[in-house]
Amino acid sequence: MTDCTGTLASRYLEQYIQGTLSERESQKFEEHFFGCPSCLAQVEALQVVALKLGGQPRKMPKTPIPWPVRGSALAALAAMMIIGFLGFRVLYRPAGPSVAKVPSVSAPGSGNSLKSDAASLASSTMSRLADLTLPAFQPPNLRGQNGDPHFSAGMKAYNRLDCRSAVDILSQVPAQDDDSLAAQFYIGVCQMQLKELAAASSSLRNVDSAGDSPQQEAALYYLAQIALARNDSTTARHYLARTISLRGDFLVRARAELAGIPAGGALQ
Amino acid sequence: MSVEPSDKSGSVTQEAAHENERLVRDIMAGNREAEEAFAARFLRPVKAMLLARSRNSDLTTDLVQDVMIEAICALRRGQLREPARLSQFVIAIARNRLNNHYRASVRTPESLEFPDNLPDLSRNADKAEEQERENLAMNAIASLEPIDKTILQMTLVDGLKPGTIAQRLGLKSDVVRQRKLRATRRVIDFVRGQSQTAMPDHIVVGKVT
Repeated sequence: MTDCTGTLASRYLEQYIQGTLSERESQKFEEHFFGCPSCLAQVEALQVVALKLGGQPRKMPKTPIPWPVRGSALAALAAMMIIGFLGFRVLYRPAGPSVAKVPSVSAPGSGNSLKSDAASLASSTMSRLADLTLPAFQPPNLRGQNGDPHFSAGMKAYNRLDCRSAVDILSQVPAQDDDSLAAQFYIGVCQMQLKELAAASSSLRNVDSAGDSPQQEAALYYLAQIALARNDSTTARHYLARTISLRGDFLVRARAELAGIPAGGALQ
Repeated sequence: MSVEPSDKSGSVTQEAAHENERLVRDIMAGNREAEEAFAARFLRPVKAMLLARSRNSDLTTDLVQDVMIEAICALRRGQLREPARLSQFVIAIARNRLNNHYRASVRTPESLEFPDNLPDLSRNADKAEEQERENLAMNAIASLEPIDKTILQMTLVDGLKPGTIAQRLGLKSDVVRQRKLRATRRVIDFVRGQSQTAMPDHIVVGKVT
């Protein structure tokens, strides 16, 4: 491993391969990767991918349906659902006795039992939606890559599902280390597992605020899960929408959860 | 392979400068092993540089040997005054060779001194590694979603900016940027991560699956 942090590669690599980097910056980057095997390997990897992509047939993805058409279709669908729902309510209206039972279930002195029942039902639905299971971690298995020892040790504890130890060890990964963002993410999900939801939110928000990173999408997804666990549907919707906007590995799950959040807003 | 370490700004460290001086001195003294070491160290970066600048793999294959031969001959003649600047010296030769190639249509190409006792520049090990990288690249491309593949094609092959790609694909620019970043990282990690001959790396963080 070199002491190079990969900053030059992340800044210049793509433009260098495209041939759009200025001569001065090209020279600077060349002088660097002539002495940095890891940056050289990145250049070579992207070059071979570009070469292979150049030889592949073009398949334009399906053009998205224009908004006016899509809007009309959605409106029609919504209208059908409303009509169906109203029809269902008319046809299957609950019989008198069961309505009469409701007051007896409510707490003494509560004049709003139906509303609170609905809220608790929605609340439990939301909590059930929350996916608080730990995401799998695949340790990189590359020759000559050991990474920060605290990170490796922390992730071993994580893979043993020893979240408390994982948090303690991962907290020792230096902030300037390349693994620090990953460490922060896994600290967050461990805290989530330990039901320390406020701390988990804070850790995962740090990952999100660091911008584009391999962990950003997962951080947004788990922030949504924490919000669901707290029955905060507004925040959950916000984070799920942001997860979906990244169109990554969590796209399907996030969409399904967003659709499953009961209507009615925040229930806190 | 001996590799010249570099600091974060890309400048050569003291240790690497000494190593360069030793390599240059040994080549001047006619040491064949030093020439082999020089070839092993510089063949790949020279090739990457020529490919990036010419975007022509056939031309790169032709020129890379010329550059290495010219560099070794120049080193044998002691033409490098500052051995610590060995990388810059090789880069300059490569750049001149490429420029000369493009000027060749208006000028007679200069003849290249071609001594018999040159180190093996064909480097079969590198070829095998290159083949492996190509296979991995195909697998990496196959692992991409069609939309990501299209975005990478438009970026790396056509040289289009995310805004233009977004317009053509009917997506938001931010989405294109995000997808492009993720796809680029994915293919690089795939090609390097699964290569048995991968070089030492920056620290790579674990991925969430």
